[in-house]
Amino acid sequence: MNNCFTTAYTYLNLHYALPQSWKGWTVKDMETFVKDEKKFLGRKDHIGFFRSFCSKVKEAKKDDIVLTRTSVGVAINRFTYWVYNEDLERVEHKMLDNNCLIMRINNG
Amino acid sequence: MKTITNNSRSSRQLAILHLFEFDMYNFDGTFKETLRFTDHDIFVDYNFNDYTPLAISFDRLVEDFTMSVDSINITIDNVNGALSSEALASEWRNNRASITRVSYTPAAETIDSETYDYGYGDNLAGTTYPELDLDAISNKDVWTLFGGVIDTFGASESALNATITTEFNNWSRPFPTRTYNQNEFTTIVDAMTDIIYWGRQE
Repeated sequence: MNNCFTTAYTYLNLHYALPQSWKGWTVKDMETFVKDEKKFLGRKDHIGFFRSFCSKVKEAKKDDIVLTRTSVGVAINRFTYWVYNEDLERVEHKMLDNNCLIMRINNG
Repeated sequence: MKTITNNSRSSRQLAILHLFEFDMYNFDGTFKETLRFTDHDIFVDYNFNDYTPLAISFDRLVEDFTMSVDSINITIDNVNGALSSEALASEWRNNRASITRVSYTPAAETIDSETYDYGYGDNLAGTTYPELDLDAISNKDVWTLFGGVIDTFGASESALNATITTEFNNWSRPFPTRTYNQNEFTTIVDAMTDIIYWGRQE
């Protein structure tokens, strides 16, 4: 069972040293996270999680994290990012816009 | 007119996409980067370059033998802030632009154990997002549809517009409008290598 956060986290964790836990949540809780996704996103925990080890940047580059109010994606280049679409059950690409918060992994 | 070879014509299913390249320079004249876009609906990887899918369109191209400068208009719709920033922070004009047409036969694809003769063509190898790997497709024809320089450029809130002109417009002296008689040259090579000055032989 995947959602946008778990897909992005799994991809980034292959290439970067991501925290394995945050505020009592650990990667072992992925299933719980997917189940409580709306609560997690509603509290903006996804932003808080990435803010704990990322810095906000204005211009995206490959593998930057792209956060919106309701999704977590990964930048492809400075124009586009990919995000897992739960309805389609596949990754799709989107254009970056003003609603996107771009984060870059510190020392990433 | 381009004749499509049997590379892609031998199979009945034919897909066509376009690759766009724009050389961008800083305002001080130093080279910045080459922007690569495609009108395909997913990313395209060709010659180890990534082409970003955009809502990009261009006028119908007309080929003829008139001694006039050919130009076409290109429109990029649904631009975002990053592209607008790039557009306004770089020099587009008088820089190289090209449109490449690719016709290819999509490879077979299996989706949910069902095999289709002609697939969608996306793959996730090396990337997480759908991308068409043109290098891996052998049944394809690639040719330059239009090559030239960006003549004029404009931007609005939602679209970028550019006019691309053939490089003939870089010729500084007037192009002679007369037609040449075949008898003026002994051979075709003479005709090709002869220096034309103001419409007559120097």
